[in-house]
Amino acid sequence: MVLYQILPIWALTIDFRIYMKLIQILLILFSTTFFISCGDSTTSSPIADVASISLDDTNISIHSTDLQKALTATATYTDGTTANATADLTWNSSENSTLLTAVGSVFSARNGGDANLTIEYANTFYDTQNVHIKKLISIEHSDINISDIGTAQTVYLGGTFENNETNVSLQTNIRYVSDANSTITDVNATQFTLTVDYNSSSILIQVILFENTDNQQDDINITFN
Amino acid sequence: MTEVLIISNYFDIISLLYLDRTILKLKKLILFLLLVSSLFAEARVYMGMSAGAFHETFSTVEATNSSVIATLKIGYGDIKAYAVEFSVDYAYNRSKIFSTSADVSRDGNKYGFNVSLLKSFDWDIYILPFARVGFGTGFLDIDRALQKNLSYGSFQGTLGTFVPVSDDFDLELGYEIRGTSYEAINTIVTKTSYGSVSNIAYMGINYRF
Repeated sequence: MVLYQILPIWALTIDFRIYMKLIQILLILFSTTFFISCGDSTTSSPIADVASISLDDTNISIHSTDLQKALTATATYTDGTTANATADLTWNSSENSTLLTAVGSVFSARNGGDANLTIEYANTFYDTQNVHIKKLISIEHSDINISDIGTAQTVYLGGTFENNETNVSLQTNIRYVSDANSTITDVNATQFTLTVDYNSSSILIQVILFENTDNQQDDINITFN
Repeated sequence: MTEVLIISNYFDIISLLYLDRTILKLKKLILFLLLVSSLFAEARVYMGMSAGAFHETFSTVEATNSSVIATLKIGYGDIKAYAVEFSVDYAYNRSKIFSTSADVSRDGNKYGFNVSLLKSFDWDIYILPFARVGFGTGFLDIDRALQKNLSYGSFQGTLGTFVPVSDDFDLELGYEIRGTSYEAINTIVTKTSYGSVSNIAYMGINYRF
């Protein structure tokens, strides 16, 4: 005896067949989903998190007359991978009168000194390093034929910094002022040269450092006799 | 005389056209009223609760989540026709997909709010099959270095059936597919969004006021 033989005649109508079909579909769906639902759940995050950020350089220093010092910062993740996060972080100086910052670089604001550079993200990740600004002590220069009055001459310049570092470029934060007997016709910061025209056998060029800051200095004189 | 007749015919045509349009408008109005009355004739407010199990598979990362979900809802409509439903759901996550802290063994619970439209079919077969589509939003607690919760948006489609138990009570069985799009995960350098598809099987009970 099969099922349809014990069912009443109405059960064989089209409605009943639809009903049975629906029940069948639902049972399949339920059993499939419950079967799947008993599956595994991921128990260890596959999405790496940020572990730390750090400046790539540790002993950071910059000459006071350098245009800038480019720096990079790295984010380290929990899975050991790293990524360049330089552009995504906030860069701050502990002392803006000594050290200025931009994203990925620092600038001198005075001739010599120390300040802390801090990189930060969302008040959660930080790294701080000391930045030392090397002080310009004196300026080396080539000689000129002082007797050749009336002919513009080129002077080659180089800086001597603390720790006796010599022949360092003088790119910025520096201005040359000539005396009444001479005229500076060109300053080439790339070639580190100065072109001077003069009408006396003795001239004095005054070097002003950090003129447009609160840390202005004019303590270096270049004399040609 | 001819001219008068022509003019008269002209007005007749205009009148007929006007009448046609009026009748057409009336027909539309009548049909609309019939539709509205049929939609709301048996409409009732109802409340329901359900519990189910779901399996969530992520599309851009190898991760799965098999957990349980409970829903509370309030709806308005006819059990044999249309209804609109507002629901809140709570999912107990057994998985640890977003959280990275060693202090937690799983992601936090998920709370959501959904709006759905339902169409049920009265085929005179005792049960009332229905199809439902909707969307929702919510959040889940996570424990990451930079994020403590994650919001999400979802679209869902459901096939199921009401099983009337009495005039006021009915059981509800359903199978739902839900696509979820989560808020981007912040890793400083990148912000990556993750999406998932959930298969949900549930059963519940509704009370119609």
